[in-house]
Amino acid sequence: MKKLCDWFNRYRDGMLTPDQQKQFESHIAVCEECQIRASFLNHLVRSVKEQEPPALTARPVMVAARAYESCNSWDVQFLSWLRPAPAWSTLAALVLLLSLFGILPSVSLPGVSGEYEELMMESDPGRLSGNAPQGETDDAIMTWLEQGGSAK
Amino acid sequence: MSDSAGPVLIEAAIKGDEPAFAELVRRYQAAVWGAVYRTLGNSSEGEDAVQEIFLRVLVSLPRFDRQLPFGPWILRIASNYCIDQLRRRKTRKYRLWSDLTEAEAERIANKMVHKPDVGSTTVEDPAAYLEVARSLLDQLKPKRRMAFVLREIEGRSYAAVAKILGVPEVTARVRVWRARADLHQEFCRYLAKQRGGTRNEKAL
Repeated sequence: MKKLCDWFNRYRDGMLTPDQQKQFESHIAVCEECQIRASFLNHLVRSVKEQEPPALTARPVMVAARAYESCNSWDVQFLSWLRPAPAWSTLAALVLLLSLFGILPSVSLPGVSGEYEELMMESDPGRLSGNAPQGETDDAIMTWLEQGGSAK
Repeated sequence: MSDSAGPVLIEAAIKGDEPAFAELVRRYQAAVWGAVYRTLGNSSEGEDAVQEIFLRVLVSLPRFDRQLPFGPWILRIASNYCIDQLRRRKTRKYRLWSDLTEAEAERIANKMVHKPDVGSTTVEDPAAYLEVARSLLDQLKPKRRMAFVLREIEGRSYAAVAKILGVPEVTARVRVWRARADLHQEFCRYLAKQRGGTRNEKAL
């Protein structure tokens, strides 16, 4: 029974097969919930649909003339630049502002040397100063680590 | 709505040919106005809305993809405008269920539920229905409301609704189905409250 209630939207949109449609029609004849749903929606749609929009007083020539008058103003141009992708524009403007004021942290990717120093500082800050090769390239440090990380 | 805005007319409008743009306005004004009126339901702002939409159309014309049909594109601008306006609305222009007196609400709810009215072509109290319909629509999320109006009120296909909203067809369908569910839920909440009230009265 509940499954058939779930077909309500498909029925309303004409998406059911002829067999399913017959099944749903027999269902709606006895299901009060679906009847109320259909009745309510029909009333709502009909009442809004029957309300014809009042006639517009502005003639197309006037609408066009006003549009041409306004389209060159700076605010319209600025908004037209923002409008196509408001989220991206806002994000870009925010990043620009933050970077101008130096709020964004500088991002630097540590090399092997940096990672090693960080790990050593975490485990034993005193050990780093004596043993680690200072000012070497990443390759040299890798070789040094492969050899057991002993003092040179 | 005919979708016969030729590329010549569009090119002329972009180059500043006012009569060409006026012709575009003439062809699409009714469709734009219909969508605006049925979505926002406020005639006092209607003329300004149409003016603003055609201003947006004029400014966006150079970005229009000539491969696409012009009608859905212009209606997409109109629907985006309507969604913006719905989001900005701070005060409701129509009464909500909670604003109606108990007697008024009961009378309208009973009329909307009764099955014999479903197939009839006349409505006894159209103003009351419209008021309730608007108040319920006002509670929908803007995107769902726009999709609901295009599909249910304007009777467009899901493919057309999707083109106008600039979303996949399945998204358009989901929005309409959710709008229906939201409206029904809101209505049922009221009915349950009423029936509960009646039962309590009887128990007393």
